[in-house]
Amino acid sequence: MTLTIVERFSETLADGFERLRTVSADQVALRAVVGAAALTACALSDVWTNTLLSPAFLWVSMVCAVAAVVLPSGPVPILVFGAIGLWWWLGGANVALWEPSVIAVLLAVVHIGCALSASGPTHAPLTRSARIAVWRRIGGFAGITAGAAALVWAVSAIPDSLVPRGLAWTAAALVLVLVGGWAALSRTR
Amino acid sequence: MRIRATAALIRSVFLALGFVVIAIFSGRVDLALLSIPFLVHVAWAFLRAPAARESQRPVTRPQSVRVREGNSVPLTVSVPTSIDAMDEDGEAPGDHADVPFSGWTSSVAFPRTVEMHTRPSYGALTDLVATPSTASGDGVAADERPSRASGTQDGVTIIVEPTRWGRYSIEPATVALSDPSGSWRATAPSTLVSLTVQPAATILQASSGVAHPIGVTGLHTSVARGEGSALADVREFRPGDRLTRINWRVTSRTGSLHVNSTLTDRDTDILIVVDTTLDVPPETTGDDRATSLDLTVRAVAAIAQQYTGFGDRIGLHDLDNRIGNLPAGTGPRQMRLVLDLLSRADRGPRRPTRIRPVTRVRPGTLVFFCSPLLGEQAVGELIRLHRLGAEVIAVDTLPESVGSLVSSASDDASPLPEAWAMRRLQREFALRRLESIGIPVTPWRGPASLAAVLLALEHARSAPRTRGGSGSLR
Repeated sequence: MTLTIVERFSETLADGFERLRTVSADQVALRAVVGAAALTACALSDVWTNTLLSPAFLWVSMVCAVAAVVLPSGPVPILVFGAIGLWWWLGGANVALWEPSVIAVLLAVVHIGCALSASGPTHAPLTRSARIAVWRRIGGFAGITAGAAALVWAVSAIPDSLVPRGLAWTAAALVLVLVGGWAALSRTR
Repeated sequence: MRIRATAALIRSVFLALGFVVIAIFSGRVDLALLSIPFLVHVAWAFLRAPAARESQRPVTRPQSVRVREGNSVPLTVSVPTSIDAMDEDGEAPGDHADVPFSGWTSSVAFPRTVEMHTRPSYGALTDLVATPSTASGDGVAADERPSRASGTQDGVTIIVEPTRWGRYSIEPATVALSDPSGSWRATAPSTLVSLTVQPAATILQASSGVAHPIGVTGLHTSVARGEGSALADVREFRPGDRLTRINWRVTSRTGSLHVNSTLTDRDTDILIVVDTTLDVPPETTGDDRATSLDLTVRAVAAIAQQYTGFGDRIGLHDLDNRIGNLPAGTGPRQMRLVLDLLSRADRGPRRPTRIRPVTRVRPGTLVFFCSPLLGEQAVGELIRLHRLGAEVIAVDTLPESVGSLVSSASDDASPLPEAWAMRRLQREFALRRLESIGIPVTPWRGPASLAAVLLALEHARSAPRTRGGSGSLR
């Protein structure tokens, strides 16, 4: 039994090394960008948030970030976003709005980077046209996220007297999100 | 090929919902900002969502291909450029919907095997699915640039280079189509490819070596005077000579009619006997891993190529049944049959069996006996053919590295190299005895291997024929 476990572990390890040996340059570049963006988001969150659990969040989110670089196709990336989101929920009150905007752009890069690197085998190089398209998509997605963040920032800066706020506004937004979420989930089945 | 939502899209939906709900209930704009990447991704995914969930299955072309050893084969995995419309409940494919996969990426990955080299390395490539109007891959269609892998609107091309002759079944490539946002994905295997690799038939760097042609047509010149192409003599005209043979230059110089005398052109029977009872692997570990069967097959291909060029009748006899027998025949068709037979040879392990002796051989037939010369039965058959009056040449196909002193001197603790070295020494003794009874033995080391032996046979044409040695190996 022990031998079988050792053999399985050895096979898994050997398979991992083989994958590492044969990984294409495009995948290396893509995952390097994902890793850099995720680790930067972790470091900046540590600087900009204020909670007693920051050191723990820092380590957990960094470990999850590294795991997401290795396994971008599984459920691991959601742990990175979950850890950073929880971190900001607990320690991100009363921050300047440009700070979460920067984090949002970094998370956008991590998210789309993971999605695109998971779309092909690790040992497959990209043709020139595919390579251009991938980097253009990452740039475009980060740009649109930055634009949307600027929009939210601008809307939040509108004085209370000009925009209706309160319970009705919150309920309308909640209904909108729930209906949209239900529609989205029904289409992904 | 079913199109499904990816983990990235499901992640986006859940994170967007979670962040927005918490942001609303806690009244936190910073959390609303953090939800933006996921909201944008969900919006992008549903704007580019495919209209249907089913697409055509990818196909690899060509599905059956035959090449010569050393050549490469471009395999194009065709990616469907549109999807079949489906009902809302996802059943009953209906009309062909005009929804191309334009802008999607297609990844093709063939299973890795040691028997093939691929370009790009590891047999995988990711390309952009181009629209019919735009240029493909790197801008050039695959059929215009077959020397490198490229993507086209028809598919992704991977170059496959088999390392050895034989028949292969290339396992289906895994094809993955992914939309620009990485939200929708379809994965399916493509079709199986049957690949037949004929052994390389190199041109022998040697003469024909036919001392006594036994046929009546062909390209070998005989010692007999008659109708032919090789000039033998210029002699005076005799009644019955053809007027077309008159040599007018000599006639005008000498004043009497002279004609060209020629040697008749003859053909002969070539019998290639292959000993496939053993397949001895080499002891080297580099790229050149030719076994005794590889060397045998290459030698047969080269010999057949050489003598079909002379118009000779070539037959093939297998002492085992890895390759099979082929009745004597001539011309390019016979050459094709020989190559087909060789490419279908069984390379699997076999138990030693009794050999199938040659049942009939005409005296004067030139016999090439391709064998590693390790089995007593094979050596006995070689001697029997010689005694039946055939001109026998033994082509030694034992790999050079087997039993060589260099390989046996390695640090490996295995006694096998030493045992092979001893076996080779024993064999050398047997080979010397073969030569002493008039059977030349030449190792197969490529197209120039037979040059010396064939030249010696041709020179022996004018020499008196002797039968050297009377002893037997047994």
